[in-house]
Amino acid sequence: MKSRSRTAGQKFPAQLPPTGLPGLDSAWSRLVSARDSAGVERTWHVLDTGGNDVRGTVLCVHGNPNWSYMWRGLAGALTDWRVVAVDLLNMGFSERTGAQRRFADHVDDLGVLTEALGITGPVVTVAHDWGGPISMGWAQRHVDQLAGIVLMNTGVARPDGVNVPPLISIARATLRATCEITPTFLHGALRMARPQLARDVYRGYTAPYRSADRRVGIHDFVEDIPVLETHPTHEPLAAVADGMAKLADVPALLLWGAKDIVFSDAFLHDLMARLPHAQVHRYANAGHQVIEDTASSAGERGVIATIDAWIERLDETRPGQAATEEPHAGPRSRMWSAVHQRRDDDAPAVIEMDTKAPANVAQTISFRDLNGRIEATAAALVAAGVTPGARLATLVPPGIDLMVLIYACLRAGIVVVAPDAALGLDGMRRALRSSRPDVVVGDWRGLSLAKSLRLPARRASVAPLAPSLARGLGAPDSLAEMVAAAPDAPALDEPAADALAAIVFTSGSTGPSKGVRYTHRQLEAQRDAVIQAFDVQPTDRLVVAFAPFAVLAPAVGIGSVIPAMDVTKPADLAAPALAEAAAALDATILFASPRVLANIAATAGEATPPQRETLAALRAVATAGAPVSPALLQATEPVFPNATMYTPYGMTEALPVTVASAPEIRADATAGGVCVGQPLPSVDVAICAPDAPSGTMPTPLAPGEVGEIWVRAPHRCAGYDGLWAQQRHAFVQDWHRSGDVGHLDDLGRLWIEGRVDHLLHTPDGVRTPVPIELAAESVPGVELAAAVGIGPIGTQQIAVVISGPNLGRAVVAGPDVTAQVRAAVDFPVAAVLVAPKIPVDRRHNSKIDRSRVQVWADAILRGKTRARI
Amino acid sequence: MKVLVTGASGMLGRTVAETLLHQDHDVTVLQRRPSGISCREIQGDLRDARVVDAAVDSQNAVIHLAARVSPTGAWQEFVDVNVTATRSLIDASERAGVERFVYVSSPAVASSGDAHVGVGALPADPGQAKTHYARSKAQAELLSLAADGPDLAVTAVRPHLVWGPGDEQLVGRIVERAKSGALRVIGTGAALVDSTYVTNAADAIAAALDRIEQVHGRALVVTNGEPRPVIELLRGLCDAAGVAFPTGSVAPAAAKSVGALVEAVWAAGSIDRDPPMTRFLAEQLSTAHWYDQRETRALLDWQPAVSLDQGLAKLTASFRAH
Repeated sequence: MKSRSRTAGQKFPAQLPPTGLPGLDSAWSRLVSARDSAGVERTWHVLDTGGNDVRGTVLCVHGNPNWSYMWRGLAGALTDWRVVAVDLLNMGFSERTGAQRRFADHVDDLGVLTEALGITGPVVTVAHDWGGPISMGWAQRHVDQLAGIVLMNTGVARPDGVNVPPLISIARATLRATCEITPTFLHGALRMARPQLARDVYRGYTAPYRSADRRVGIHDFVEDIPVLETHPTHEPLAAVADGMAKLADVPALLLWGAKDIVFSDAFLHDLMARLPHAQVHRYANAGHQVIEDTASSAGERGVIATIDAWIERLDETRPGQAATEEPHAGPRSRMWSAVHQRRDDDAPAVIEMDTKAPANVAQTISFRDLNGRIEATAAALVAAGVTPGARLATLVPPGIDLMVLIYACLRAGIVVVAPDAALGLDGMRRALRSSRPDVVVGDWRGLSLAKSLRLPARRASVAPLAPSLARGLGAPDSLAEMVAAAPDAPALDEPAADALAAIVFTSGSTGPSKGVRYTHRQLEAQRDAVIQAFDVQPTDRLVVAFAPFAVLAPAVGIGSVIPAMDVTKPADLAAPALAEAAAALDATILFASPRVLANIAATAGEATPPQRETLAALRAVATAGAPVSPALLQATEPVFPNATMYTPYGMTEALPVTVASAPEIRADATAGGVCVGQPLPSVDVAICAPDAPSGTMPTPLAPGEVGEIWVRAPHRCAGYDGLWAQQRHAFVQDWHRSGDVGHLDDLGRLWIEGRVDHLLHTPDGVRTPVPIELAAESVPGVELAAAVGIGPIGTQQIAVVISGPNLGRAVVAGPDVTAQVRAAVDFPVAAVLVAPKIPVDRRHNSKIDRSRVQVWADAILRGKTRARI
Repeated sequence: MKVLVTGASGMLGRTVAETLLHQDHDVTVLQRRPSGISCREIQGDLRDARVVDAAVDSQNAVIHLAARVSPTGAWQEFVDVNVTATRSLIDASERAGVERFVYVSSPAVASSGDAHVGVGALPADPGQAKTHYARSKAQAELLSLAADGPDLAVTAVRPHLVWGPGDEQLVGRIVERAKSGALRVIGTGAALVDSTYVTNAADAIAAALDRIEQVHGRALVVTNGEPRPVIELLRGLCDAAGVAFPTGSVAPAAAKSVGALVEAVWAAGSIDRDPPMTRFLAEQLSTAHWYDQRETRALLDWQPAVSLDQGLAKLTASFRAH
């Protein structure tokens, strides 16, 4: 350790902060004196909201360079609790002692202070940055008082492979200059806020650090980072890190700004490993100053509201209370059981068509071989150290290899992380970062993506790669070689039904993509629901043009064929390629999205007579992703004259919820919205007022009333991954709050009318977009329409944005079309605009991205001449 | 109620006077030229203190519409007519024991050049105003509302883009420009703008007089509550007048610089006709100006009786009749 280059700093007594700092109630500020562990009297400045009739104390500990000011919002929000937020000695407005206080001193000091304040518990610690390990040191000495711990962007140990971040290295190399003599480090840390702090708040943060002699504590904290094992703080910090095991019974909440250049995701994962029971919410767009970053934008899912909600539910969140095994009768049929039963059957299980020659079969696997490969791969993964519960990300294109890998993971109890290509590259990156896989298995494209993200995961290729490429991608192992090398192992234990089985991702068409957790039991229930919804028989064979469903066929125990298609451009699949695929397996059921169906109908003329016969022979067409319009139904009927049309409604969190038949799709659209049919027998649907606070479910509304759609089903997912606040919002008891808006009619059929976020809040009441869009789309020449609200909530005007090839180039629609749209829509429309195209989501190529349309229409209607959609 | 209406020679002033007469008020009108309204009339100039004193004598209420509205002209003229005359009218009203004073203002008093998107009555701000008209109206509104007190209740009503049959301000200018080929759509023509059919504005002003207890001391924006892309409004007015709607357009930046140039030329010389383009007009026709009407309608207990389409039909009929 470098010796200090100067004598001890100056001493200053503690003082009260200046009045008038934004958000800070000066009534909270007090000075507290007590003798420290060396017997010297010290004085702290603390915020203390006091109160007699409180549930306990929330003890807040700031980091460096910071002070109790960062907790002002929390102090104001937690009304049932006494909030005590300390300024550590030599920091904030606490005493400047004249000598460095190291980590261990701060832990001792905190104990002295809580004793002086008469705090006896229950206590919830809340801490950030350096405050994290200090609060954990205190917590480990006061376990009996502890009711919960909350940590944000902090660490108790530097994770393996993580270097000291540049900001800290620079600060350490130029210690006095950056931290003390100049306020460079202070300003650098505060400027990490995103968005930037308001000027007056910024001044609040810098208030105690205006002169060099008041910044000595900032310097000391940076110096106290134990980069080397010989550093005096190395040992006490390591002891706190090891002591985290003592907190295994204490409810824990980790709140994390993902864009922190100091405490990266690796620190979060380290803490999650030490506190495996912790609830986690990772804010993808927030940084180190997570409490400020989420203060305005994240609303009720911001840090302060989330801590408030979490503390309210502390009694419910004790570890070990949540998991209750549901009783169930008889042996379960597991996801791999159906393939295992056909282990002696040479019939084709999966056929892949050749993307370069769509009429040719690229690969076929029999049920016998599929079962063999699944079992061998499962055993090989476990033998290679990928243990049950580990997370394995599959970056493999849809096809036989992907199915083998997925079923092998399910069989071995390895959690499948499946960021499908339809999320787009950015979406896949975010999905991989947030879901922290232990292993990534992919083709070279997927592996290079994983490498570019510098994920700490082990990487393996599906098939052996050229050695130089394998080295370059950091993926020395291939699955094929692992299987070949695996010793004959005894049969693997079956994973528990309630163990986590898979993480899939929402499409992101309705907000940032979220990881969705499914247990084995829920996946099995989903398989059963699909069988029921589409009346799938053991004699059926599927042609699957919708990637997520391709995976289900082996679980049902029936064959499937994947047409030659680009998964990122599903709408490009043409009728001849589909027909060739169907013919290869003599398929009986087609799974496709509405956009694919539209293209099939449009390209039906390109099909040869035998190809048309193959399509005509299909007995059922099942769509997914978005509702089918009556017009599309009409267009596809000549292509599939013998098929029953099933169109399910559901969401990534619970699918399917309903299934509509052709007559229901044709049901009178003037009733409002798109009819998606009856809920499945195993599903409950409730319609509730859309403005319910997070974490509550209001009394359901009567039939006919419009509201938010809530869903309950055995195949509902377990919740979101690492998004506790979002989870609390969207999952209440057994129910899932979908964010979709609609109503149930007198016959019990569900009608979809849009999204809660896209409601139109006009002066004459709240309207839903879908009925307006359907009316606009009835106007000749209008292919797609989006209804969006312009202006402030409550006084919004409705703009209808239309697209179609013959609508002209002017942004404001011509007088005739405008008049026709107004006549068709039974509600005042302020403007009819023509967009060059209306964006739809990538996965389904069907759901209108109204948020993007809204931003565009808002700019145009403000008078901007250039706006991109 | 005995009510003085100033500026009754304009379309809105005349309609207000007629509306009040229809409601059996005892109306006096004050303007420089004969109004043609069958009621008590004083002809004179508001800058003349004797005229003002005589006009407010024994009135219960004053509705003050008279103003200089030209897009160009010397600042002093706007001060004299819009600010000083308003001051003397208020002072005279106080002396004469008038109880109610409705100042007819404009949303332009709060315009800083930014779009107005679903906002209510923003504070009048002479410092931000872009034209002599807007700045003088802002000053006059502020001084009017400052006079609100226990003896004299003052309110400000800001109708936005008033139009109707016989209108020379908006409709007249647009039609004249369209006829001469000088009308151009600025930008995409999509900027959402509110407007007010004249009888709706008059009804709202009458309602403000009636309900001054609820609305004194504050300003309210009044519109039809049916904003439209500006191109749609212009086309509707041209169609009503039976003149061809132009197809060309100019970029907003170009329009503003042309406007600036024209304003300079007009200011230098003494051209009698209105300029073809001003910065203010360019801004009004290329940025959104529409307003939250909920509070206005609730406080005034008023709804526009004539919709935009109905108003355009009436305008068409009036053009056909002439």
